[in-house]
This record gives sequence, C-alpha cells and structure tokens, in this order.
Amino acid sequence: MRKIPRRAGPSQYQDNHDSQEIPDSKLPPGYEDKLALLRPYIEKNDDLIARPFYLDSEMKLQACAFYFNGIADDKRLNEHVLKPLMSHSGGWDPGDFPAADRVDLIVRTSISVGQLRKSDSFAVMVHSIFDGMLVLIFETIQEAVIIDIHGGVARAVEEPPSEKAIRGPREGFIENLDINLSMIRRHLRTPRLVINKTTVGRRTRTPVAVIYIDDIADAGLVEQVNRRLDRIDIDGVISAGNIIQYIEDKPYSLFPQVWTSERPDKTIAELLEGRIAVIVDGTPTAIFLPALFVEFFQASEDYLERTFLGSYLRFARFIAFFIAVSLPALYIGAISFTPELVPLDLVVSIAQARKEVPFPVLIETLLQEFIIQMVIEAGLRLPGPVGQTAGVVSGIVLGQAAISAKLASPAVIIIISITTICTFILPSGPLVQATRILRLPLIFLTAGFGLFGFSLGWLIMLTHLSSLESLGLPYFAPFAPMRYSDLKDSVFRIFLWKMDKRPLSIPSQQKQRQGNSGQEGNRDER
Amino acid sequence: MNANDTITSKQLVFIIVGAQIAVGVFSLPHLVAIEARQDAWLAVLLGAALPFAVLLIIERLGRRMPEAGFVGMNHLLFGRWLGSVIVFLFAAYVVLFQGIVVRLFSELTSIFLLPCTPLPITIFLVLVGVVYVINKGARVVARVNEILFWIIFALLLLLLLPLVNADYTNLLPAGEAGLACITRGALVSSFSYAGVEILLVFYFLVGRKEEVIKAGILGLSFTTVVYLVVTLVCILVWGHELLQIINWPALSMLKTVKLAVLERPEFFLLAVWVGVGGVPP
Amino acid sequence: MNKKLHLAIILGMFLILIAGCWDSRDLEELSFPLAAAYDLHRPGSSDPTDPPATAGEKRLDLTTAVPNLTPDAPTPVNIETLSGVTIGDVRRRRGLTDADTYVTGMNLIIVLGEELARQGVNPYMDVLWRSSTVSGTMYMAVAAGRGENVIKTPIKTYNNIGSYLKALFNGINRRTFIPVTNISQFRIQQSAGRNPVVPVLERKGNRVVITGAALFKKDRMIGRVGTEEALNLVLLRGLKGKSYLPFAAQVDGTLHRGTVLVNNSRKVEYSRNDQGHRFVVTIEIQGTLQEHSHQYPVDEAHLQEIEKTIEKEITAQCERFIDMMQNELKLDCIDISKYALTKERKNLFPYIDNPDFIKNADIRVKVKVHLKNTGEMR
Repeated sequence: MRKIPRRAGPSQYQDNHDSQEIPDSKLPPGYEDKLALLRPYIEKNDDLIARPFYLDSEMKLQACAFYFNGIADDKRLNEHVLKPLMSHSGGWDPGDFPAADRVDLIVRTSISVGQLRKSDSFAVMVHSIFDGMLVLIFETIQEAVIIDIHGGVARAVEEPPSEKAIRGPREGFIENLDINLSMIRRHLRTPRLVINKTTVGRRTRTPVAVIYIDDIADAGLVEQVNRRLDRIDIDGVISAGNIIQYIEDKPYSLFPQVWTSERPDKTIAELLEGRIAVIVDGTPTAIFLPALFVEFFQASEDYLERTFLGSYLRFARFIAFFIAVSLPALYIGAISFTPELVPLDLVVSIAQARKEVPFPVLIETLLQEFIIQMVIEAGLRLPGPVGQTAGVVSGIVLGQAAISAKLASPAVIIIISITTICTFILPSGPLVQATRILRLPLIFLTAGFGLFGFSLGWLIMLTHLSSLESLGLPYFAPFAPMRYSDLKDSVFRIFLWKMDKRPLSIPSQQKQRQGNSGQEGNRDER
Repeated sequence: MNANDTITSKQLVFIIVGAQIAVGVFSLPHLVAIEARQDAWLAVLLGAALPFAVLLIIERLGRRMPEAGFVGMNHLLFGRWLGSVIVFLFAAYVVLFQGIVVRLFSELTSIFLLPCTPLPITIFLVLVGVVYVINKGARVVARVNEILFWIIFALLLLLLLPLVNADYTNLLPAGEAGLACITRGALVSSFSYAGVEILLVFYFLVGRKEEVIKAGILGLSFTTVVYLVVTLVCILVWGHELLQIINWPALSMLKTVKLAVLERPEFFLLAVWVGVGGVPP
Repeated sequence: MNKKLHLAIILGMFLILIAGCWDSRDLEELSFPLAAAYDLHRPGSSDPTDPPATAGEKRLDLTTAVPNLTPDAPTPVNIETLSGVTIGDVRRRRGLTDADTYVTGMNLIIVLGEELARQGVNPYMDVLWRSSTVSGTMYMAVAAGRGENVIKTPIKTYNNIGSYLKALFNGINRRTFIPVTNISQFRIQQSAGRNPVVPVLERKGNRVVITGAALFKKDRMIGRVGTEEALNLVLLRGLKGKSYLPFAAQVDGTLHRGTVLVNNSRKVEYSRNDQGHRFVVTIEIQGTLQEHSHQYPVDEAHLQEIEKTIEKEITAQCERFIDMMQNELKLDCIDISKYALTKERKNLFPYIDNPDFIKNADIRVKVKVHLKNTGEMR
C-alpha cells in the first residue's frame, strides 16, 4: 500500500538547496567573539537593528540587543527590556557572581517580559533573530537571551468572507498564529488541549501548530500528523495550501482530502470529535485531519438550526452535489441518446429550439459551461461590488445574447445555470472546486456512451471515493464502509442529544461524548 | 494480497450478494419458466438449496484451517502439485464465469442502450469499470459492493412497480407442474446462485471467522428473496406463456408501467445496473 | 506498473471517445411519430415512393403524425402515408422521403384499421413488442373504417393528434366506462383463457370520438360493440371504472329518472360439476346518488329501491350481453376463462380457447349495488 507520498525527503537535511547552513556550535563567552560570529548574517540587513548598551549605567557589562525594526514591539522593547536593563539598580556587580549564574540574575531582576528563554546555541540565536525575536548578548556570558516581543500590526478579527454564517459566532481566524491559538484556547478551556508548535519550510521557517485534545484524539493519528509534517522539506510555506498538498494521502485525486475552515467555532467542534487541527502561521485557515467526504457537506450552522431544517438543508446539499456533478451530463445523455426518457412536450420544445443551433449538444453545453466558468473567475478577480455586477450582467446579457444569436438553446442556459447555482450551494470551498472539474469527465463519458457512460462514470467515481483514505482512514466512511451509527450525521442530521457517541469513522480514545444521551433535550423529570 | 486487506463479516454479506446478483436476474424467470411454468417461483426457492449446501461445506472446510488462505488450503488438501492445479482450475473457472457475465451484460447494454456501438467497445467499457474496482484491492471491492447493495435494493423496489398490472390467476394452481418439472427448474435456477463459491477465497480475508456462517446465510437469503420476488412479479405480470417467450422478462416488465417522473424505468434500471452487473469479486 | 495501467485505460477511453459516438443522435435530427396508424393498403392511396406492384401480396399502409420541428412551420404536424409489405419495409421507404432519422420510441398511440384488425394484427404488432425503445404503455385503438382517417383529423384543441388521443385515453376510467388498452396489455391478454378488447375510434367531421369497443379473439378482431354495451363489457370484465350511471324507475305511476356516480369491481367464482363449467360473476357497484328527477324524500328505503332498480337493470343488460357473447361471438371477452385455468391449468389448456368451451359454460351474473345519499335533499 502506498499510504504516504514519498516526495518529502527524510527529516535530516541532506541535499544542499539551503546554502546558508548555520553551524550548530556553542556560543563563545566573549562579546566581540559573538559579534564576529554574527557579522556575516547581519551586516547586509539594513532593517536589523543592533543596539549596544551597558548593563547598568556604570558600564559594568557590555551588551547588545538585536531585533528587527517593525517586528519587535518598540514600546515593550523600551519599557520592559532596555530601560530596566540600562537603569539596573540592583546594586550588585555581575563580576561577583560565577558566569553561569549571571544570566539568570539579569533575567530575573531586570527584564520584565514574560516570554523569554536563553540558549547557548549559535544556530538557535541566529534563527531567533530572523524569527523576529529580540536577542540579547552579554559580555562574559555564554548564553544569549531570546525574548519574544513580537509586535507590529495584525488584521482585526472579522467574519470570514468565504464561510459566512447566519447564526453562530462571527469570529474568524487571522494571519497571526498566536492570536488564532488564543481564540481556540479562549473557547476550549480543557487542560487536555494540546498545542505543539513546529517549524516548516527551510527558508520561510513558518511556525505550524498541531492542536488536539489529549484524551480524545487517537495517539497514532497525532503521531502520523507529526511525522507527515516532519517529512516536509521545502523551501517555503506561502500558505496553508502548500502544507495541505504535502500531507494529503492521494495527491492525484480530484477530491479534497483535508478539511479546512476559517472559523474557530468549527475548529473546536472538529477537535471535540477527535480530529487534529493544524494551523499555519500566515494563513487564516485551520486544516483538519482526518477528513471525511460527508464533512464537506456539513456547515457549522447545521448544528445550530432546528433539527428538521438542518436535516432538510443537509439533504438538499447532497442533491445539489449530485446535480452539480451530473446535470449537464444527464442533459446530453437524455437529449442525444435516450430522448424517450424525457417527457414528450419537453422533447418537442427542446428539439424546436435546437433546430436553430448550429452545434451538436456536446459543443453547445461545453461552450456555455466554459463561459460560466470564465464569468465566475472574472467575478472573483474583479474587486468586490464590481465583480458581483460583472457576474450578474455578463450572466444575464450573455445568456440572452447567446439565445438570440442562436448560439445556445434556452434549455442549455437553464441547465448550466442550475448546475452553477447548485455548485455554490456546497458549504466548503475545496469541494466546490472539485465539483467544477468533476462534471467534465462525466460530460465526455455521457456524450460518448449515453446513460451507460454516465453510470460508468459514477461507478468509477464511487470506487475512487471508496478507495480514498485520509490519514489511512476510509474517506467515504459512513457510506462505504457503512458505519450505521455515523449515518446520524450524514445525509440527515438528527437530534443533537441522540448523537451521544463520537463518530466511529474517526478513531478516538473516548467514545461517549455526552451524558444526557437519549433524553429528549433536557426536560425536567416529572 | 496485502496483510491488512481484511474485510468485516458485514461486508461479506454484501460481497456475496454482489457476486450472485448480476445480469442473470433479468433472464432468470424466463429460463425457469420454460421448465417449471407457473411454478417457477417454487423452483427458484428450491434452487437455493444447492448454494446453501455449498456455503456449509466451504464453512466447514475453512474452519479446519482458518489461516491457510485459498492456495494454502489446496496445498494442504491435495498436496503441492495437485493443489496448484486445482487453484489454477478455480481461477480459470472464475475468469470464465465472470467473462460470461461481462459478455451477457455487454450484450444486454448493447441491445437496450447502445445498439450502434460495436460490442467490443461496450465490453471494453464494462471491463474498464471492473478492472478499476478490482485494481484497488479486496477492501475497496468490499466497500463498493456495500454501496451497490443499497443501489440494488432501491432498484428492486422499482421492479415491484409493475405489480399494478398483476393478475393472481397466473400463479394458480400452485405445484401443478409436478416435482420433476420443478426440480428441473430448480437446477436451472441454481446457476443463478453461482457466485457463492467466491467464499472459498474471501473466507480467509474475513477478520472474524466465527461470523462467516451467519454472514453467508444472510447474504444467500437476501439473494434468494430477490430472485423469488423478481420471479413472482414476472409470473404475476406476464403469465407463464409469455414468460417462456420473452428473453429478459424482468427488464421488459418495466416497459409495461409508466411513472409520472420517470418515463422509462427500464432504461434507468439498466443504466444503474452497470455497477451491479459489472462489479464482481 | 499501476500508473502505466491507468494511463493505458485513460488513453484507450480517449481513443474511443475520439473515434466516435456511435449512438449519439442529435434531437433535432430525429423524426419521431406521436401517432401511427396501420391499414391494409388501398390501391388508390397516394404513396410518393412509387411502390412496386406486388400482385396478390397484402400490402400495408403506415400513416404517421410527426411533429414539425422547424420553427414557424406552416403545419405543426407532418402526416404522411407510406406503404410496404412489412412495417420494416415501410421504414426503409421512409428513408427516401424523410430527411430525419425515424425513431419510434416516443410514439403515443397506434391506431389499427378495422379491416386490418379483422385479419389479425400480431404480425404487425411484433415490431413494437420486439423493439427495446418502444414503450409498452403505448395506447392502442381500432378505427372504425381506416386508421389513417383518424390520424388525419385536423384537431383544433391540441397541436397534434397523438397528444390528443393520449390525453383522451389517459384517466378515462375516471370519466366513463370504456375499455382502454396498451400494447403490452394487448399482448398479455392474448394468453390462454384471455382475450383483449380495444376501444374503437371514429372520425366524425373534425373530431375523433370513441364509439365503442372492438372484441378480439387473440389477435383477430371479430366483433364490435357500441358504447352502451361497452358499459356492460367493462362491468363484466371487472375493469376498474368510475362514472355516472343513469337509472329509471316507476314509482307510484310516475317515472323517476336520476344518476348515480359509481365505481365497480368484480368477483368470479368458478366451479365444475357434471353438467360442465359454471361461473358466477358478481359485480359490485358502489357510489353515491347524484341526481334525482323528483324532489322525493330520498330516505333509506327509497335508496334501496333505487339500488334494486339498478341491480335489475344491469343484470338484465349483462345477461343479454352474455347471451350475445355465448351464442353469436362464441368468445370469452369478459375474461373469466382464466378462473377455470386456476383449478386445472394442464387439463384445460388445450380447450380453454375453443368456442365450445365458452358456449357451453354456465355463466350467472349477480349485481350488488350500494348507494349512499349525498346532498342536502332529504
């Protein structure tokens, strides 16, 4: 079985695409020695600030602070680091203490910042500088002090535009990892919530957080996620999208194999079901593993609506997916292979409209499909309101013009419009993108072999779905293999108080998820 | 086969059903009615005895050497040389049998859906589907069969529609054909139950062996009920005289009804049957 | 290896797709009849393909009504009559006059000329039964006179005759008592112990009217009954229907007329004794009183009187019908012989369709009427 793509090399850097390999040596105690070591890395960067100063006003100990302008928070730098250090008035002389204790003394008496660590590794020091930390070095002290006073500007927390919810929280992730993590912590207060941070990307050195709930998530899965992240050996992580492509099971598939969301509330719900979340710094998106096919049909407000409405909408989405994938193909199949299937009056009117169109049905359909896809793309690229207007105008005008220019029959316009609308009903972006492509092979198969080709296409699609795996777990899970208890939250969403078990499709350490199972709501006992 | 290519006993039910029910169901009432006339349904019921016996034998055999695997079992039973010959013969039989199924299915498709497309092309298309499924291994075959099972189930409900034209007098008098005729019919029908022998291979892939017998009985019973219902409906609708003339009575039967939404149930049925007919173990 | 296999399959699919879509036909290039009529060839009829003179052999006229797909066409339907030795022969000739591909799958109704129907129609129906695309639910009718006259009727209310006739037959059992059949029922009803009946259509000016039912012995039409007898036929055959039924009764010297809205069902009991085969046909009629000529207090007693009147009237009519059927037609057109088969199929099988069987059978009719009063009159 080929479960894990082998493209990602082993974790030890072997090939030499990173020419700036930093020697992992111990720092020397001397001040000038350290500066000399650092010089090749810092001399070309004009935005790096190296601020020398003396500890205490009496020039007892020479020190230097390294930080990047605009990344370090100037206010905290001055108030809590430089000022106390420089005006140090502890009344003790560093020279009185052994070298090993000096750094602790300084840190404990004179630096009033919380996030702080020390390191005697040269590589760590250099990386910390470039990660945007404030790094202090001292004369006679071997260790460098690394202080996190990240500042600068972050986007405000807003509602994610791609995942709007009518009900429920309006918070969305932003580009800053720490703020994202704090949003999760703030609403998920269990002590068993675990957040592990690693770094991915040799040059971008992007922080990536692996989040799971210790006593729910399956340990094997957590290990697998960590292993896959470790294996990634790339130059740079531009966005979470890059990471996804390296950790999914079958990159050849058209179907998205990891779930993404921009909403903290969704993230918490996923974590509670035993999934593992991965958040990449710089992208307002959380990645969830393992993903199941059904999840792409579950919108977060399904669980907030009344059960019957939620179920109805869920069911409608499955129908919409079927229509979005198959309707153009079915149209071609019915019109040019088995017109007997279509109600007679419709056949006559479609045939009369088709009489004036010069193209075969296939070409006609593909043409319209292409035009619509281009309109959508154009609408995405154009700025906000202009994009919407362009979409509507081109939709209406082009459609009308195509009909009156006899380039397309009205039936095709309707078919393609319905298909497009059904595509965008789907609540998750990756599935929408997949659907846009999925219908093409089906169109070709049906154009070649009618309904037979159509069924063959679906058979292959279902087989493919059944064979897909996410983190080694069956992707099409509640359907094949059939997990009857998970069907409660698939095509329909039944009452929340009936879903007393966590999904079977995702292995978890704790199966039971609620105590009031089987009770209708939480009524008072009579 | 991979070591972790195991299936659950539930999936075994679907695999057995999937292996047995193929295109044969469309012509089964016709073939049996030639022998057993209006008692064809009795013959179909009687015909189920043979596969049940086969099931029991295989289970007994498997229980003796639960971890042997199909090839290993033959080696143990017949010795290395003869065992290999028998394995080869069995493989040849499966290939031949499935070949016939694919061919029949392609011809049916050719007649009903794609009359102008050359038969080799249709066969190629069916094979593409089959090869794609098999290529993914036993587990995926099991999963696909699981989905297809529910599709079969829905389609069978479709086959109940012609009952609006049913005439109960077609069934009477029951048992008149005589034991000889019914037995001959049962023999004919037992060919339609072929497919249960794949248990020889799948027995060793099932995780929990003690559930095999239950799963086998469940699967076989489902097939029996399906065949019985289809045959009954066919007799009720066509009467045994026409049944002896019409090649695919179960399919043609759908022509006699019209649904409000679906103008031609038989095309729909046959198109969806692609998976059912094609996918095999 | 695996990837190469995938690649090979995908390439193969593409090659096949490029090579051609053998079965793809564009909808606008089809010529699909919505109504068709079969007639015996009449020497005078105009066939533009100049058929060869075949002396002695029976030729056939096939008339089709095909919707005209060209926009702004002067006529919504193209009606054409062509002749040939078989249906297939006609279809071959069609290729000479029709630019579009002829597709029969959407035909709604087939009308048989009376002359042809009396000679036996199975040779001509076979092409429909055999076809994989023709629906078994295609309606079937016999034309009084020639079928082509019915097809050529310029209907005002519908834009083609096929849709009109389909609409006429659709749900007719909720409007009136007339037997309706489709081609698959026609075939099924030819099995042993059964005989089909088919509605009769007649052209009256610019309209098409149902004027009765044609009685078939297997595939040969041997009799025709009018609409009044068709009512008895429906009741006796046990075809489900629902419609108005008028009645007349003498009450205290005045003639009461009225109507009931009823639906019917039938039960047949079969027994065999030394004298022969005995059938008891029980017709149950249930319904409501709809109309009464006198504003007479319709109480329970009067309702029962009306029931009695209707029972008597229908029993008499049905007995007359059975008498006609046994002695004139010698044909079981009320679908009861099959009940004899349920007792001993093997023995009776050779004789069941002999004229003697039905002629010598003892057929009794019982009619039971259950009425309910409706309306505010009391």
